[in-house]
Amino acid sequence: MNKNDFRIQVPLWNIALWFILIIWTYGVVYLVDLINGDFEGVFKVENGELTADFNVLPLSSVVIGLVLLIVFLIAYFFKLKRHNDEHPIKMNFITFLKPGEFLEDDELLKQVTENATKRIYIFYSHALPLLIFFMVIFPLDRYLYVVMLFLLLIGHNAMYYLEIRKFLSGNYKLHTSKRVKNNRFSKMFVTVMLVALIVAIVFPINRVNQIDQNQQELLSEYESCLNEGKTATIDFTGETTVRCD
Amino acid sequence: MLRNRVRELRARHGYSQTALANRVDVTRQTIGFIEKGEFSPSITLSLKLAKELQISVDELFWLEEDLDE
Repeated sequence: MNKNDFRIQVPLWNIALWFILIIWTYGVVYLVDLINGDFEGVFKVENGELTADFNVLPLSSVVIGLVLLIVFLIAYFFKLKRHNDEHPIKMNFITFLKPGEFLEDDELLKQVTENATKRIYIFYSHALPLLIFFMVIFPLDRYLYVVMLFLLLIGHNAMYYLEIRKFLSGNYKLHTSKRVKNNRFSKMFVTVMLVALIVAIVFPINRVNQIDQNQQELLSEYESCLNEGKTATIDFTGETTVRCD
Repeated sequence: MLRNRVRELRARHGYSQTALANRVDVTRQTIGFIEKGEFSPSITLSLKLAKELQISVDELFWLEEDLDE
């Protein structure tokens, strides 16, 4: 096994794939939202002609993403074919049971792969609860959360690649001082959780305060409109406003 | 810590790390890590190495008290 072994480079290919999918899903999310939401609103009649009013950026991202995806798959296929022609350990084009980057040629490589996957297990067991927390607290666009999930996958592949590169470069230690590393990691995790907790407390309080302030303003506007002898109506479409007719 | 005489006996038999690795069906890196004492091989691999280096397993590998622990 050497550095040119395609299995070593598979995580980098995975990272490239996730980046392409980040581009592609931007458009896909927009289109899905459009179909499930205001699809009829896309078509407008102007000067007696029916025109479609699409957002150009998401549509371009679907096309660019698709082209990149096709180029990627062709390049990946040729790279894989060359690997299978040159190396005794063959790789499958698609496998759902054993990722292509797993190195299990002998017991040392099995141990290295186990160590790398253990790190990724720890990474996910910290990152996913944080992501759930952000999804619960912040009502952001769902595409942002799709990107965050892709970033987790990119981080996971980068960690795996760096671990294997370290092994191949000869600087790898199977028995490291885990206690020191764990302490540093635990401190970092506790700090992140504390910051998240503060955000979780401050953000809703701030929102409730904002809603209360808006209601007070609307109420005084409503009352002053009635005092002028006009008809006041509250418009809930978009930003809540008081209409005084 | 597991100590061994793999490097010494490999040199005595005139094997390179790659040659010995091929004889016992592992990668060159595995032999390197065993020689440095950083990797403890399985019983099967220990027996294969002992056979190739014409020595008994207990003469090839032995436990030494690790002062750090």
